[in-house]
Amino acid sequence: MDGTFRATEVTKTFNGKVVANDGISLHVEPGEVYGLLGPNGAGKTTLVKQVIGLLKPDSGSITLGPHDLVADPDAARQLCSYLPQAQMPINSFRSWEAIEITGRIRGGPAAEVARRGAAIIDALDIGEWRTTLGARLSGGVKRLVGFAMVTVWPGRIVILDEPTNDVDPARRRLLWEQVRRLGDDGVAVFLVTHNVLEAEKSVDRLAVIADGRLLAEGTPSSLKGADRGRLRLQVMLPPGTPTPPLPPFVESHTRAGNNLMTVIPEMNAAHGIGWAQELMGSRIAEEYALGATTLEDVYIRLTGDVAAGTAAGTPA
Amino acid sequence: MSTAALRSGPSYWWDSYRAMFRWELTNLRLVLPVTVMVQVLSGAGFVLGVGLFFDQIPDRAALFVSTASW
Repeated sequence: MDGTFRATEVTKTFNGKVVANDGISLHVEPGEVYGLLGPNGAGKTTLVKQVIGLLKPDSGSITLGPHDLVADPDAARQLCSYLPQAQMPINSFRSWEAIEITGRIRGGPAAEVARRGAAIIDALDIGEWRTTLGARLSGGVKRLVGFAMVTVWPGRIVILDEPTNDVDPARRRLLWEQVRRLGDDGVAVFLVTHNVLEAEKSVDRLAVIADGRLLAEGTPSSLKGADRGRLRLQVMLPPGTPTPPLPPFVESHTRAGNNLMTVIPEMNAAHGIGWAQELMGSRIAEEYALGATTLEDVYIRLTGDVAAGTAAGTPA
Repeated sequence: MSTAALRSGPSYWWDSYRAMFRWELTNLRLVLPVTVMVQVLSGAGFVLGVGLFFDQIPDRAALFVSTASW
């Protein structure tokens, strides 16, 4: 049976003015980990809410295999598991209780839910908090318990909204392993995130959306294809230092705090290093790093993201 | 791995209801001691309060006001 998730030309406006989703079309195959990247207010959560039946699109269709998730929100809730960005309301629950009761609510048999709950607790290395009340858990452990609640008896599609928020680096790796395992087990994983670098390592395909529109879609490598032949030259400036004049070979740059990220052609690598060393010699820069462009560079190029305290642009 | 299949019918409703009822009960854990204490204190306060407002009250009326039994 075809279990593909499809969103086709999904459009959603609020108050007839704010276009949150503008004709978004995408599909996720069973077993695929699909990333949805976009800046704040891009329309990611609006799309997710339509998938799980909390909002109704103005037009377009959302289906999972033969099921129309718009016409049948009950099916949407049964077939989709959703980890929201906000913490789970589990202050009164011991970790294992929250996981077990959720599995039971989702229809898992008691013995199977208990077995799988214990396995996930071990896999995420949160056994020491197994009997701790949610109110006493740190934000990161609570996040991991939330992930276990969502995946102990997963739907055919699992939607994870920023699953690694607050989680320490070691357990982040364990969590990503579990995400991959879900995919290997045939579950479609829909990953919503701002964390471009983590997503790059974990997803099979991804889409970048901004202002409610789908800007690009493909594998991480195919999206980086347009950046082949370019390098990322990152210069750390001392606090309060204005952005120094950029040499003409710099194709684009982004300033985030004291971090000046530039994209330069590969053939100008030596000139780029020379420029960075010059900056260090004049104490305008503290250090620099030269490397391959990442998905983050592609993302910034596509979205033109200008967050608070950052500035992006292309030198004239 | 078995993933969620579409469920329907009375056994689905009953199982879901039981699981969600358990969730709701467990969710009360932290506020339960306070809730019980407030109930006990307000009950005692009511019984004592009636005594303050009404100097003389027939036994039968007192029994009704404090326990609602007749």
